[in-house]
Formats: sequence, structure tokens, C-alpha cells
Amino acid sequence: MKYTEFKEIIIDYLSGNVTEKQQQEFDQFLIDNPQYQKEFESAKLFWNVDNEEIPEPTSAMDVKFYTMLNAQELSEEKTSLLQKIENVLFGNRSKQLAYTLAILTIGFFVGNSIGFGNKTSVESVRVAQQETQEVRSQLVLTLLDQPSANQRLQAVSEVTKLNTVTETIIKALFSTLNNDDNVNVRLSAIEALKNYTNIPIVREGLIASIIHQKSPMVQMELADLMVVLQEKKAVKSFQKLIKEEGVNISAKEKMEQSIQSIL
Amino acid sequence: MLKVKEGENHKLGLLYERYKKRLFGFFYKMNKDAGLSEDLVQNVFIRVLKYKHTFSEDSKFITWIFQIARNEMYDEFKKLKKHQHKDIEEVGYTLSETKTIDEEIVVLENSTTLKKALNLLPPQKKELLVLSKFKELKYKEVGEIIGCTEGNARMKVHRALNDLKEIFLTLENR
Repeated sequence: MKYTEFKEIIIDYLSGNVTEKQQQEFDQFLIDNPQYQKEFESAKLFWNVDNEEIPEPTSAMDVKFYTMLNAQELSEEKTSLLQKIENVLFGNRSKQLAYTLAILTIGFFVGNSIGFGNKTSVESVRVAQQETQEVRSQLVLTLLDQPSANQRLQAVSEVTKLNTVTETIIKALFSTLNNDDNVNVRLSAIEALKNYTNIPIVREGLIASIIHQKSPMVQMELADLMVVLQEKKAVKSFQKLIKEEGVNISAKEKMEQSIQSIL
Repeated sequence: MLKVKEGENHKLGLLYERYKKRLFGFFYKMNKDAGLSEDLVQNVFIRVLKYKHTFSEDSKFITWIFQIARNEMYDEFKKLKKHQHKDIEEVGYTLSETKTIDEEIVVLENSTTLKKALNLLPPQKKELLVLSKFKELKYKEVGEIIGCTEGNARMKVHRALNDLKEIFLTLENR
């Protein structure tokens, strides 16, 4: 290393902006040429001029920071709660479907009031109703898939607005009744299915689901329903369930009563 | 930081613990006022939350947060402008042509003159010296923080240190 080069990189050396090789050469240069040591020391002194003691920040700074952070989190939680509510009510997919429904309904009334002669209007009413039903069915299926229990409840209540149910909807309701994590959703699925007990597969499905139910609320609800339906086939399922371990005492009593009333 | 950006604000606590001392040190070296420096650190993190959407994955967090710290500091300087800059402008330092710095060094050790010189160095130059002393901040990062190229940052740091020497000599020759 030459002197000019040495002079050139003193600051780079001090600020840690030299490569390992440069650093070695620099150190060697100082060993070989001690007369430049002074110049280096001078630069170092200037470089380290502000290396005085820096006081520690006080704990007040931490307190202030964490207070600010907590306040920030709280305010964000509030907004996100609002957003959540909004999502439950007007979640993106359900929002689109709800709009579609609304537009179809408006279209139906507008078309009706303009009137295209009796024949066409009857026909268009039928088509519009059919379309509304289809959209509503779609809405039910979409909502049943939502992670939010509120939306799934909404889905089940939509079912009651349908004039006719398709097999897909029935299947979806049973899947909810047998697999949903939320008791309220399962109970409302039973409520919805009650309206279709005239369909044999619904009755069979309800009986089959008795044995899967772990919640006493659902077990009792089904027991009541079976009494109303006077469904003898349900007796076996109840008897089996009563024998199982860990079944709630009230639920057991209820099921036993129901068995008595059915027989 | 990316988690903070995604909305996990509580992760900001980790960043705060990691950077609070460095930021405090930076401000303290620049203004010598511990209370004010604490306030400025606080303001930096408020800005981090406010501008978290501007942080990009490609940039280093330390350069980004020091950019914020710098803006915070200059906003503060603006408030104190009258007091701060008056002193600096009054100095009008010139280099003594006859003496070499190395001759002066002997008496320099215990001199308060050097500290005085540092206080007279314009903040833009002082911050270059303060920033380039952080181990993580090489010329490249310093350049990113102040908004210039790596080579330019190197030149500026060299100049800042030379200016410090010049101010020192002017004071010594008075």
C-alpha cells in the first residue's frame, strides 16, 4: 500500500467500509511505516469525537411507547370489529348475491307493473320466481360454507324462505347438522329441516343424525321432534345414545320420555 | 416489519426494543437533549405505524427507520431553526493554510475545542458522521438514508470529517 492510498482510505477504515484485504494491508502499512501512526491517530481522534457517553433512555420512554401501541391496537380493534360486523351482514360473496336478489325482485315488480299481456306476465313471473329461488339456493350454499357462525345461521334462515328445496340444500343442511362446530347453527338446521319432514329422506336423515349428536341441546331438540313425528325408527338410536358414556343426564331423561311417548 | 405492515401491530414492540437505543443515540448525538431525544424516538414509531404501508420488502428496515428518524429530526430542527442555525452561520470558518492538523493533535486530547467544533458542524454533515458510525450502516446504507449513491455518501462522509478538522483549526487559531 502506498501513502496516498493509505491517506485515501483512513476514513473508510475507521468507518468500517474497507474489505478484509484492505484492512490487513492498512494495518501492515502502519506497522511498516510508524511515522504515519500520528496521522492515523489524529484522524481517529476526530472520528471518535462524539464517542462520549450516551445516557440510557429512561423507562418513561418505554411507558410512552407501549401506551401509544396499546391505544393504537385498541382503536384498530374497534375498526376491525366494525368491519367484522359489516362483513357478517354484507360479506363480499353474500353481498353480491343479496344485490342480485334485490335486482331480480325489483325487476320482477317492474316487469309486472309494466305488464306484457297476461300470458307473458304469468310466464315471466314464473321465470323470475324460479330465478329468485335459484339465487337464494346459491346464497344458502355459499353462506353455509362461511367460517363465521353468524353467516351460517343466516344461511339456515334463508332456507325457510325457499318455496321448494333441492336435494343439494337438504344435503348441505344435514352436513351442517352433523358436522358444524356451533350448537346454535346445528339447532337452527334442525329447525329448518322440520319444515321438510314430509320428504322421506329428511326423516331418515334426522334419525340417522341422532347418534352423531354430542350436544345435549341438540339431542333434546331431536327427541322432541321425533315425538312430534311419532317416528318409531328413532327409538333404537335413542336407546343406543342413552347407553353411551358421558351423555348429559337431562338429555338422557328427555330421550327416555320421548321413547315412552313414541311407543 | 412485514408482519407489522400486515396489521400485527403488537410486533412493533420487538422492533422498538431492537432499535430504541440506536435511535436514541442518533438523536442524542445530534441534539444533546435526552428528553427531546426520547420524544423523537416515540415520534419515529408513531410514523412507522402511520407509514407502514410504504415499507417495501426490498429495503432494509434499518435504512427505512433511519430515513424516518431523519425526517423527524429535520422537522424538529425547523421548529428550533432560529436558535440552531444562527450559531452555525455566524462561524464562517476558513482553513488555516500554514499549520497542519497533525501538529495540533498533541494538545487536542483534552481539548474542549474539538467538541465545540463538532457542535458547529452543520447538522447535515454531523448526521453523516453519526450515521456512518453505526456498524450496520456502510456507505451504501448511509446513501440510502440520505438519498444518494454509495460513492456520493463516501465523499460526503470524507468531506464532513475534513470540515470538522477545518472548523477545529479555525477555532484553535482564533
